[in-house]
Amino acid sequence: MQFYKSLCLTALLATTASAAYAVDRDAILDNYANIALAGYQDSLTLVQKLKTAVEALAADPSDATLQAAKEAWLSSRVPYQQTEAFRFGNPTVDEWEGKVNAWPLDEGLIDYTEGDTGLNEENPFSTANVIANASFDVAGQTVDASEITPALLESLHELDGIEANVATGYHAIEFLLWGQDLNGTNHGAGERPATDFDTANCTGENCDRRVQYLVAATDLLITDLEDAVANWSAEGQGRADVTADTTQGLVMAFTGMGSLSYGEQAGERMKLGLMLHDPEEEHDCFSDNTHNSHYYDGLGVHNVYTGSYVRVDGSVVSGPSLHDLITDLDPSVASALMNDLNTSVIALGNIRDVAESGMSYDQMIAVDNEAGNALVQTAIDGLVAQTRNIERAVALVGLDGVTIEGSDSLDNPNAVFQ
Amino acid sequence: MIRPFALVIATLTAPPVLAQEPDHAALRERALIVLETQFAAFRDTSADLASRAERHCSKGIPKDVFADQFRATWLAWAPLDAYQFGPIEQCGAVLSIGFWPDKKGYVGRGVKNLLTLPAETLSDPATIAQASAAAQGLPAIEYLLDSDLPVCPAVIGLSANLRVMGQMLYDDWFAPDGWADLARAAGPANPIYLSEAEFTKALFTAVDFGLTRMIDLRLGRPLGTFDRPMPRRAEAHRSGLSLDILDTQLAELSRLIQDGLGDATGPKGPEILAEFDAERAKIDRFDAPLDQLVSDPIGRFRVEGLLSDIQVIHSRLATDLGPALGVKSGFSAADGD
Repeated sequence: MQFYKSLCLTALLATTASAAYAVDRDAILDNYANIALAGYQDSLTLVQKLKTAVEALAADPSDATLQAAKEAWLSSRVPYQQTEAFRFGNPTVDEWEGKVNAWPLDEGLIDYTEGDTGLNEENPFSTANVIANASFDVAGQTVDASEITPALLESLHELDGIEANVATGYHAIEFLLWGQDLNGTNHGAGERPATDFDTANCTGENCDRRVQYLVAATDLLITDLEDAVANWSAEGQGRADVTADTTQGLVMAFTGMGSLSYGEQAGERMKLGLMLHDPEEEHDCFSDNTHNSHYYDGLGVHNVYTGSYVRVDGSVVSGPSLHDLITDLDPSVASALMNDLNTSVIALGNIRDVAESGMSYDQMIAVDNEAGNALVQTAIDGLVAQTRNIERAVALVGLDGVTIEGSDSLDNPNAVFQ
Repeated sequence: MIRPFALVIATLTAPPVLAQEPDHAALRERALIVLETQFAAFRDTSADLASRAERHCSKGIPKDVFADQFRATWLAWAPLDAYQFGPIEQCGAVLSIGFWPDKKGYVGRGVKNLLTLPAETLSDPATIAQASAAAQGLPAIEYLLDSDLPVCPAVIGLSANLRVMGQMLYDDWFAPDGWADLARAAGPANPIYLSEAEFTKALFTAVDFGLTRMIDLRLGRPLGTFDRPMPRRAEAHRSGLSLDILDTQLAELSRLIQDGLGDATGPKGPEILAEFDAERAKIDRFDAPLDQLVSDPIGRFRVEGLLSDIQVIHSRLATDLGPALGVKSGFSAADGD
């Protein structure tokens, strides 16, 4: 008896059996760079849509146009956060990233804040309020802020060497659209009224300058994302760096996965906020979109390992993967790492599900929310655990790389340590 | 407290390492002795701190006597800052004991929030353990001592919480079935260490991480730029402990290398240890606290010299020490922003 071979089944098998790819290291890195390119292209496309929504808000400020701009911002975060897995391993990305996603910020540099809630005693510009002040002094020099342009915002970014002076990027735009979240660890995001952008019926004063700031920051973000797309295009430096030396390129890919997982996401972004129980220490604190930020960071790491990325138009970029390579080198490490990454994505997904059911991330990290704290801690534990297997994968790739370069270590792996 | 160079040589002059893997099990046992001494020191000084806090608040001893023990406790904590794996990581102890860098004034805000709680609850370590991590540890006590805010009874609860943490970290490491036993059981079925070498890697990563924290944060942050030094970013600048913390950390990392990693460090080990001693001698010759040094043209020149020398030691870890140990540095908390 012959089994009927369904074409659908064949297609299904082809897409799930990733190990069917031959383990060609250069092809893995090409696919890695292609995923980076697609991620930044998608980010650019969605920030261009944000620009359209911002223009509509400026032309006709209303609850509806403000809401549309917020939704455009939220969508734009989906592909961008997935690109964060490219950040730490790639020097070109790490150097560039601060312009677009710097956080945490002293938002009082940008616009009005309630009472002394924006005040940071470590930062003399934490309440400088560029929107309200056409000029101000920095270290004895007067800054002319009479016209708010992309160039002015670039010059104000990390003003006076202080990282919390974030004048540009996603989080500056987020603050302009939502305003401060004054709900503490209670439910609710920032509630900036649409009239803050209405020059005819202005609230919050200086509406014309607020609109100028929002447009300039969005334009600058587009320019910066265009640079990122160029960085991963055929002649781009990012692609060149990661493909120049195959072993080094693979180590860079794993470094990006491990550094984002451990030091950045598990540590700076999650553990710190959890232990401070402070809603200011959540990543998307104005919009209460932190659950998505975290989830898509985790998914981005997963994408890099599996060599597969689902684009915003639903198409898939995929090819030979790091998982194929590690499976070839040591199947037990490969399956352990795959399992770790799945576990983390599910744990981060649980946070997202609970947030979307009505308990926002800032509520989860509140001091008396035992279940919420545990949910966040579980995701942290997952990210820490996966880092151990990423280290093992790096060791496998690094050792093996020395071997193929023709060292004397073919018979004695320990010789490479000498 | 500079060890004679000759002694260092004598301890570490081993035959050149040939193509053999270090004895990871022996290394682990030596290193665990060093770690146990360090964790026990923090447990004991924090216990003493807690009893002095009670005596100070009951008018038994003056503030200065408490403050002396506070400084001793911070210096006992300083070497543990490098071990951000295992129990310290699981308890989040680096944040709750030594919260720093404080980029947004969390310590001050946290302490003020703490003091809004009913006074009778503040002497209870359980109250403190519920608070923001920035308001729980050594920087919170430092902030209180440096302010006009009432030190008592909060300092009783804060110090008692440190005593609880000190005991817990020691037990989590060294009680039966603690992290030390976990390391001893390294192997394919171990949840953390699949081989003996993986614990060596964790120790090596800790040394790397400790030096990275000095370079990027402890020295790098207050240095800022020539035009814009950032003296208030110096760790423990309110109590003037910045340089003592660095010195203690160099001494204790050096001890881990010398007594723990020992002869596995290979032929370059003695040179690396001598460089640690040289940096400690430099710190000893500084004539002002770190926050003052970075603001003064001559002073910052000297601090920059120290920083670049520590960078040299750091680079030698990868070129000299790691190859002798047969491991490379792994991921650490320094990998984020």
